[in-house]
This record gives sequence, structure tokens and C-alpha cells, in this order.
Amino acid sequence: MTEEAFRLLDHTADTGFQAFGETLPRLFENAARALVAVAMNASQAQPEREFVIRAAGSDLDTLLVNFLSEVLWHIDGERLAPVSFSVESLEEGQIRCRCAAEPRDDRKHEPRLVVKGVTFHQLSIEQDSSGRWAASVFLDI
Amino acid sequence: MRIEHIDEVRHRIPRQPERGMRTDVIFYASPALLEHIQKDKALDQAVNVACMPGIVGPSLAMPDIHQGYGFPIGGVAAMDWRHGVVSPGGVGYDINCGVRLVKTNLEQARVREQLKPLIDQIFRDVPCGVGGKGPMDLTAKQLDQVLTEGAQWMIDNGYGEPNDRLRAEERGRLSEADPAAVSARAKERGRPQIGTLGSGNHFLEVQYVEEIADADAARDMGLSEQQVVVLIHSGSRGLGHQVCTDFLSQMGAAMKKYDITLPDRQLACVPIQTPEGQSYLKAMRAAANFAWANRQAMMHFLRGSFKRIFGAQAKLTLLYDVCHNIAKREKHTLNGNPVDVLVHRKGATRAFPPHHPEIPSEYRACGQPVLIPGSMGTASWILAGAEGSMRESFGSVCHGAGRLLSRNAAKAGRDARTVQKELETRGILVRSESRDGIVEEVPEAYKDVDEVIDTVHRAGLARKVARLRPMGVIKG
Repeated sequence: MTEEAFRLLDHTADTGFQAFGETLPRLFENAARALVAVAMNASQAQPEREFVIRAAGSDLDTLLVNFLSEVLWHIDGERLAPVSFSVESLEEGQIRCRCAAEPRDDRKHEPRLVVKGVTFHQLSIEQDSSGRWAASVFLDI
Repeated sequence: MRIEHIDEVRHRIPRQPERGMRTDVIFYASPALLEHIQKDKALDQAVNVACMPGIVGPSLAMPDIHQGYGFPIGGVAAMDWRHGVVSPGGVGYDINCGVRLVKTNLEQARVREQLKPLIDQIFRDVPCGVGGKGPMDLTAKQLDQVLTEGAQWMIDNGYGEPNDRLRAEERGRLSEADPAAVSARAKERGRPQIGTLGSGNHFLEVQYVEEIADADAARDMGLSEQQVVVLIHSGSRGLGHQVCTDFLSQMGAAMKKYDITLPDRQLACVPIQTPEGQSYLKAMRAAANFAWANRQAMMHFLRGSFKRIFGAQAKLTLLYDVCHNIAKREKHTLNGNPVDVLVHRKGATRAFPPHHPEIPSEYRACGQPVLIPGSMGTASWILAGAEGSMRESFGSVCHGAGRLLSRNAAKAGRDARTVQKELETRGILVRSESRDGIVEEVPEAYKDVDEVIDTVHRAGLARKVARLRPMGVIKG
């Protein structure tokens, strides 16, 4: 059985998600996938181009928000539909993540919500006793 | 939480120094709304705002208050211009999200005859721009001009009529905006989106004046019963969102530098009189100007839609344009003393009373028009600012109905086609780029807008002028 990667959360004005991962790199990858799933249905996207997403943060919360803000930039600024995320390194407050994507096309990638920003609101990143990571993130939409 | 009931619509959470509160919270709610307001964390957020350095007067919350990020949505906070802070969270991601109301010279019966072609035409002409590009292709230089000149740039470049600029808060342009303070990313994110509506709670609605509540004010505003009007609710799109993201990420470090600690990270703020504070304000004003230009462009496209369906005799004129996510330097009076403050309105509308020098001369007698969009398919309101707003709320009032249900709760057990059909049986056509957009914004997801309006009317913050009933809705 496939491990659950993420689930969407509820908020009166906006939306959010909970992401999971056996390791921190998997957690960050799944959080990025959750953000894409809020914005569009990218299931038909092809890995037409590859690029590296970099972010830094003084603590893990800031690193996650800054990383997701970078992903959001690629969705809404570069207008890309990402297919995959693969974290290459995550240490000392820095992340490097390889992303494959293709240009957004509404007919192919049904738009869902315009995400305005990734917030610190009730942000949490936790590891349970078995070592599994979980993060809750709320988005302004 | 201890709540003192001042009267039937005014309530106070007294200052508790042990919670770090520097001042009281005052909020407005009828008994029915009071129950809703206590269901989420909005009042806790208003308490957190009361902890911010340099806050002047109380932390205020309007009857449409609901939980936001950092600031509650429906919150007003005035910060001392010399010693206070500015908070990007107190403005929000959608800088100068606002409302523009356009009057037509057509009556309901005439428009209803061709409602379907009209709504389809508007849906083509005013794109939501959710995934694709917008209808305008600005160069980088033109975008910088838009960031400086706001709505005026659109009018000067053929997207408007000369009088349009007179009937907008700040005449559709904040001075001291600096395009250089806006990141290349913010510009790149916003540039293809100008002239588009956006998604979420943004919409364009064709409505008619159902009821006039104040005949004198309605006459001053050129409104009559059955008259068709169009309400545009939109903001600064990706440009404003990126400005907020950019500055929030810088402010964590800046807060340490200025030794500011607050109960919620999303309240990130810096002293106004610092390079970081000034830089944010310059970028925020530029984003606000983008939003005014955006609403001006959409009104221009809308004029084209009406002319195409109803011919050259269809005439559209701007009634007014207000912003409800903004921070502005204003002069007010508190306890008889003049104060120089930066008023943060996060989901709150300016509501200056009659004779205020900053409102257009044609509205001096009745007060500033205040435009309150209701939920999809219910009602919207035109109010006029009243004296109470200057005494109590730094010239501010509510901004909408206020959400009641989360998006998932709104979607539960509903599908877009049924919602669309139900609205059609009530004479309201809906066009949306996404099915989710329709179900998430069902009327039941919002508080009763009439109850919100009654509350601010009774509190004397603004007066009812006219109630508007929707006929057609375009949603992102």
C-alpha cells in the first residue's frame, strides 16, 4: 500500500494541507506536491524541462515556507505545471530540490485555486516516535 | 475571554497586560453575529493585534470579522506614524483588494431580456486569468508606469474616460509608490495578470437596485430603483501577493533587529520609520496602484461588453472604487487630540462622513460611498460613511458578509450544476472557470450580509443607501 503523501485541511477563509514523509526530504517533496494539487490538476503534465529550486531559512518552519513560496513562484510566476520534486540536499537551513515541469495550459491542467501565499499560520512540522514526519501548512487563497 | 457588552452592537475585550495587550479590543456585532464570531479564533487574533507596538486607540473588529492570518479579516488598527509599526499581514496578500461599482443607464427589465448573451459576453471580455494570460501585454516600462500612476495610466492609455479617476478612493493612485521597491518576481508574476479578475472570492456581478434606503444619498450618487449596476471585486493579483511574500520573509530577521516579539509570526512587522518599513510601504503603494489600474481595465472591457449587446446608447459611469486591504497614513482625532497614524484596514473599508475633504465634491453632502459585496446570489449594499466612523473606528467600516463555512464545508454534499440551477431558478446566471469556484462560494458559506449591514448602520459607522440584487455572476 502506498503511504499517504498529503491531505487537504480546512480553514474558514482559506485552505491548507497536511503533508507526510518518512524523511525530511520526502516531507518537503510531498508538501510541494500538495501545493500543486491545491492550484491545479497536474496529473497529465510531462517532464518537459528540469530546474533546481533553492531556498534557505533560519529554522525548519521558515525553510518550509520559503521553499513552498519558491514552488508557488514557479506555478504562478513562471506558469509551470510541475510533475515531480526530488530533494537533492537538505541541510543547515538550505534546500536544493530538482523539479520537472511543463508550461501551464488550462485545457490540460484544470485550474483549481489561485494560491496567493504560503503562511506561517498554525504551521507545524513534527516527527512522531517512529521517525515519520508530518507538516501542516495553511495557504491564503 | 472576558467580553463586556457596551451596548447591543458594541463589545469590548478589556486590555490584559499579562497577555501583552497594549490596548482594548472593540468589536461590533449584533446578538446573532456575536454567536458566529465566537466560533473561530478571530477575536484571539484581534487581541494579538492589540499587542502590537505603537497601536493608537483600540484594536477594532467589524461585524464581518472572521479568522485570517495574523490579523483577523475585518480588523482595523491605527499605528502611530512616528513610533508605531507597519505589518504586511495587516494589509494581507491581496494588497488593495477592493470593490468598484459601475452604474449603467439601463433598467432591470431591459437587461433581463438579454441577460444570457450579456453574461456570456462579459465572461469572454473580462477574463478570470486563473491559469492563462490576461488580455493585456504590458512592457516592463509600462508596468512601472502603472505602479506609479495607478488607474490614471489606464485612462491616459485609452482604457477609461477622464471622469473615471475622480470617483475612486485616493483617485485611484497612492503617491509615494516606488516601482523599484517591487521585486522583479512580483512584477513578472503580476504583469500577464493585469486586466483579470482572479479566483477565490473575487467576482464580477451584474445587479439591479432593489431598494433605496436613503433617497437623498441615492440621488447624490445617481441611483434609482431598478437601475442596473455592475460590481467588480478584485485586487492586485500575483503582483500584490508576491510583494507580501517577499516582505514577510524579510521581516523575521528585521523583527529580531528591532527587538519586536509578538504572539503570532504572521503578524510580522517593523517600525514604520525604518528602511524596511519605508520600503514595504513604497512597494505596497505600488501594488495598490496596480490593483486600481486592474479594476479600471476591467471596467473598460465591461463597457465594451455592454455596448456590444445593447448598442452605443449603453452608458457606464463609475460610482466609486474602494479598497479594503490597505495601510494608509491618515489624520484622525482621538479623545480630542489630533493623531497622525497608519491605519491598517484588513478586510475593512474606509467610510469617511459627509463634508470630509477627501471625498469627491459630488458626494460631500451624503458621505463617501461604501461598497459592500455580499455573497454570490444574495445581496450587496451601497452605504455612505457616517460621523460615527470618525469618532470610533478611524473612519472605517465592514467590507462584506464574512465567511461562515470553510471551503470544504461549503462543498460538502453540493455539486456545481445543482448550485448553478438553483441560482438560475432565482433569476441569477453564474459563469465560472472552475466548478469548485461555484460551490465554495455558495450563499450559505457566508454570514447574512443584511445582518452585518444592520449592525454598522445601528452603530452609526455608515448609513444604508441602497440594496442591490444580483442577476448574473462571473467567478474565477
